[in-house]
Amino acid sequence: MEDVASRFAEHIPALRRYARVLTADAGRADDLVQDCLERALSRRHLWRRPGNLRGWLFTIMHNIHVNHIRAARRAPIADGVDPAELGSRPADQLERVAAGEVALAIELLPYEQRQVLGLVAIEGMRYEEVAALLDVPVGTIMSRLSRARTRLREITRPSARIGLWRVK
Amino acid sequence: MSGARESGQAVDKAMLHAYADGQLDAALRATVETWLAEHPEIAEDVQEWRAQNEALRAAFDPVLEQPIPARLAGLSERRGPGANPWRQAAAAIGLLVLGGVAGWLAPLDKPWSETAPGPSAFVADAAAAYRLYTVEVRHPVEVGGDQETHLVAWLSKRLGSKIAAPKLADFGFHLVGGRLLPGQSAGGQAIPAALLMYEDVTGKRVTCYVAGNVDNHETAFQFRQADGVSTFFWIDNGLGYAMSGEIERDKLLALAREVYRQLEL
Repeated sequence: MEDVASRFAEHIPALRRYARVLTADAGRADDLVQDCLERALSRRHLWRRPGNLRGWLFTIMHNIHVNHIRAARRAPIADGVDPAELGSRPADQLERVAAGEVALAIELLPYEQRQVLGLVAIEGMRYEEVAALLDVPVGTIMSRLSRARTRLREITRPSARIGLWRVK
Repeated sequence: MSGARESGQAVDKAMLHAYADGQLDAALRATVETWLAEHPEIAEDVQEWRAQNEALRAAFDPVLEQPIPARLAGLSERRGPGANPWRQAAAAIGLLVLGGVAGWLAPLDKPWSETAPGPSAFVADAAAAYRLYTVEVRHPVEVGGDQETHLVAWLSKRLGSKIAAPKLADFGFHLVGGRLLPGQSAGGQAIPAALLMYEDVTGKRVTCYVAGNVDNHETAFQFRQADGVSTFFWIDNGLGYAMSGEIERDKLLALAREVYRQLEL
């Protein structure tokens, strides 16, 4: 019988990519992926097929990361930007993020916005899948996504107009 | 989304995001496109979201092409038969991993506990020490390499573990000296760490950082790179070792292997 662990490999590149979005540091990103794979291995008897293996692995990684942040007694996630998550780029460099440097700008987003934007824009997940993964309603995903995009624009184009929305 | 499926229905913000993210079916896509044609200002915003998506993918997609580190590949490829695209890469990397293959093949229980300081902090300390002290011209070390016996005895005493200053002359590096540093803290108290600095004839410096109480688990070599500083590190007998430098990865690996070999003796 096929061991589900043999199918982890195909998801490692995407896990590493998303971990990089979360931690902004290659080494810490791979630590996170390693923790994720180890936990997945130890719990692979809980895996039910057919199922969304990618979603399962991403969920595990998400939970580990949230626990790491909490365990480190950093600022509560909901408070927005977590300085420890910004790697070597402190917030005072915010103005130095030039237009178009979206990749740098995403690291300056509040954690929850960075997660959603990473999963939607980079990992190409459907909103429903992201909602299930983060265990929040789709409406919450949409508002985080919207705020993330607005914030990203403010960071990369400080002069951009804000408050445009007239549509419902 | 579903409430918007009647003809002539309003386009809401969620639909615009879904459009930008390619999550609408053909019919809704056409609806949104018609609507956007009549709302050029908003069309501009939607265009910008798509540009953001593209920029983000362009920034992060290269990670997909990078070789998978052996410590990750080893958690997947070694179980389960059959062709595996990562098997070869993992095998190639495995060749670089010195003797302690067991370090990355064995650890199904966690190689680092969640509460003890993990290797990340240790490696970050090592890289920070490298950055801070190798640029020093006049005071790069506390005790010079000309007093090696004293240096080694002093650092061994403070670390509580016998260490040596490996000889790297065959690789063109000589000992500049060393210093004592505060390492990761345990119970509010910093644990001593040692930094040994080496230099070649061109003035290129590398450092060997040694810290106690990193973790009880042994590991084989692992590689980190941050801000241009490369580090190979391993853990042996409760001591963490990290070779850092701004030299080619292969050369740094050769130095790290030599250090490992000499300390094993």
